[in-house]
Amino acid sequence: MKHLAWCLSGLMIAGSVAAGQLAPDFELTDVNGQSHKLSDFTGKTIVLEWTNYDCPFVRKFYDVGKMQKWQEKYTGKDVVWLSINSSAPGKQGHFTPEVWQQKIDQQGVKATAVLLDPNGEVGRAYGAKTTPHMYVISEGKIVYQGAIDDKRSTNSDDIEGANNYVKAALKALMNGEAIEVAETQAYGCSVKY
Amino acid sequence: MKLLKTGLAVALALTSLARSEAEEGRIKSTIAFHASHEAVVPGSELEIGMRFVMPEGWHTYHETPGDSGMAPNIRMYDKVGVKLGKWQFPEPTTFTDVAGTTYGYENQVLLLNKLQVPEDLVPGDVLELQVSVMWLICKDICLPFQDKLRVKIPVVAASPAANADWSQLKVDGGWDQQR
Repeated sequence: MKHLAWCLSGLMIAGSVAAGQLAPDFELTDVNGQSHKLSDFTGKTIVLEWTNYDCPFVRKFYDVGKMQKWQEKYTGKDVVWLSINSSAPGKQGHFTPEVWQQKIDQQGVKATAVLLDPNGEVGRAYGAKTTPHMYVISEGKIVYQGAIDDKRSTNSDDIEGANNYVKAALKALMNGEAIEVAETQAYGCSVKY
Repeated sequence: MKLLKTGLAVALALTSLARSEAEEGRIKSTIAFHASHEAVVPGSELEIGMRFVMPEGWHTYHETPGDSGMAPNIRMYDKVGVKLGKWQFPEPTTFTDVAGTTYGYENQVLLLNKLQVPEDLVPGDVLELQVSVMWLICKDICLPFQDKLRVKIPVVAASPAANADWSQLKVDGGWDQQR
């Protein structure tokens, strides 16, 4: 992680990645202490989901099991789904690995891994602004970044009928079609850096 | 939605037509319905406002919230075909922190709208509105609130009484006196 931090520092100044750009590599530890590199998944479609389980915009999707359902559906189709938490120690959404494990079990989280980014380096490299803030990566490039859908609300009733940009991007990739919307403004709580 | 608390306010045919308070833990945020007049004439236009009050240090959002947050969502229902315009937001304050820039209001804000009273109401009727409001307040963390108000406005033949506090409410709610 040491020299990786140096690599990322250049990107941190830019503070964000745009659709079409190369996805910055990173190495983070998951809630079970296992290390994951983005480059471990080369060749696969990857979803990055910035999360904070205490944010009402995140609860909107987890309380009704929707996020877990999408995680299960797409990991079942060989997509790598990485949930990332960039809450700093002492800030909302930062937990010990044991508490993370409990919360993941209780909610039935189906992500490939839940990664911890307590110093916010990866969040800043990607310019993650909100929870949720979603990225889809294909062939090493960002092919979608932004909001999960087009209904800025905390109400689970709004999920049905919303245009889910992540699902649309994944569907397009699977069908070999062009991604219609590659970039939107993310909505949610601020990331608790 | 564990965090969501709902309360139901009973209407008061007064200056403040309906008021409610939602509570999340020990954090309270209140909404209140106000109008320029205390009664309406059939076919007339009524200026209305929804006031949001936040505890110290918390803010709610402009219609363009910026990098995070959410504008209040107000839905109004009635049985007589009231026409409602677009909610107007006063000039917001800019908030900047490590995660980005947002636009909103501390302490309180009054959102304004215009309501078209149907022609076919008759004096003695009561115009009844059901208002459902969802709003978000944030400090270092965010809390969502949801509440419902029932508003009753008497229908009169002519000369509805003006709300003496209306211009002050607008000033306090972020609108310049000149507007």
